[in-house]
Amino acid sequence: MALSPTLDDWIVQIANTQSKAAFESLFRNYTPKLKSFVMSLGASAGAADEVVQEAMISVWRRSAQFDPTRGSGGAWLFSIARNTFISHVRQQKRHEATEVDPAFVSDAPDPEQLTTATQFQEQLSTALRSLPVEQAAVLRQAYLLGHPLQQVANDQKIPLGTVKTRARLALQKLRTVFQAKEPT
Amino acid sequence: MIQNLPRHHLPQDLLLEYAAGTTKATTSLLVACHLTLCPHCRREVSRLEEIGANLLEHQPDAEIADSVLARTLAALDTPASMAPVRASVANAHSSLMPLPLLDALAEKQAKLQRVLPGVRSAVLPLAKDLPPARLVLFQPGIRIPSHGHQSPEFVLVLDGLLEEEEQQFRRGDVAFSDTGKIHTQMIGAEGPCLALIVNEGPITPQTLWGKVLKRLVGL
Repeated sequence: MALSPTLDDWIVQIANTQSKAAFESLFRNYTPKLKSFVMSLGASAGAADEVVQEAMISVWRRSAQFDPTRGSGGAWLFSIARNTFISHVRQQKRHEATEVDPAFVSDAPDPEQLTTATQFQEQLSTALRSLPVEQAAVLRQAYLLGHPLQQVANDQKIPLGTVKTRARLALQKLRTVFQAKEPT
Repeated sequence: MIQNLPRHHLPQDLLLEYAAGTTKATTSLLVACHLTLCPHCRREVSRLEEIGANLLEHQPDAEIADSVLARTLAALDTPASMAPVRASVANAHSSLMPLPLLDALAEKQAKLQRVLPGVRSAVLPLAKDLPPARLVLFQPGIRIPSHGHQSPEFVLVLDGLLEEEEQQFRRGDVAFSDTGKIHTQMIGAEGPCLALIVNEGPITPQTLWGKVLKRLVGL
């Protein structure tokens, strides 16, 4: 299943009209996956409910900061869930670059992103499915289990260098999807 | 306005860990500071977050009780608590520092202090099990003696020039030294060099002067 085309719309609706109906649709459609993701990172079911709740409150409050020219709604949601998990469960500070920073060096947004986000996520799914098993495993352990690459190496009993090579090869293959999207 | 863009970027595997949320606290501060100055690496992180989104999208559905939705809806109309007011750490160099660094300095009440002739340093202990990150101000022309690393080292240049093996590192550039590397670095003669330095583990100085620098500056 590809990312729902309505996710970006819901976020924009929440930003523009503070629509609770849009918020509820987004909640019902996405929090079951968010909860599953947060539990996969290591949270208990109870803690995951709290992370989901906190993350969704952030979605409501920060919806105006979502910029569809800079990435998909799915990526925005992913980053909010990840950051909420880091602060809530790991109790660590998440350091991030922000555009309001006077030191921020800006660049031009990518106008292609808006029109192709859904199609792009479909292509990305296909590309991820076609990765060799051992390369996909590195990505899954990094993103879904929240393991640093050193831990991936320890778990699989392989050298860190091998893990990094697998990650690099995987990203190289996925890069072709991104390059098709960004005609530069 | 034409801004000079960084030419020395972060390793891709580190950006992957940052996007996945698994970087160590000190490294994560350095990544955030580099990203503030580097559109190239920000685009890379955006791509990596799209991959994360895709993997998230294929997660099975967990069960969510209706009470979670009810609690969340009830919380929406409560105004957000005010962000803590940032204590000022204004100094002559503040304008050169990305916000994540200013925040960390304010939180730890860390100030640049003279540690050696020509070297001032502010220590940022961000996690108990990690060597602290350090903001270091070098006077021009200082030579950082030969030393080795038992773990990766990242030096993010915020001002001035750092030279190493014919390579030049200026504002926004990251000089990355992987485990096992032995190197000598040189501060450019044109002006002071301000840099954020992160070591993920102990380093092994090769000289007595190096031992002094290691203890005081973390290089």
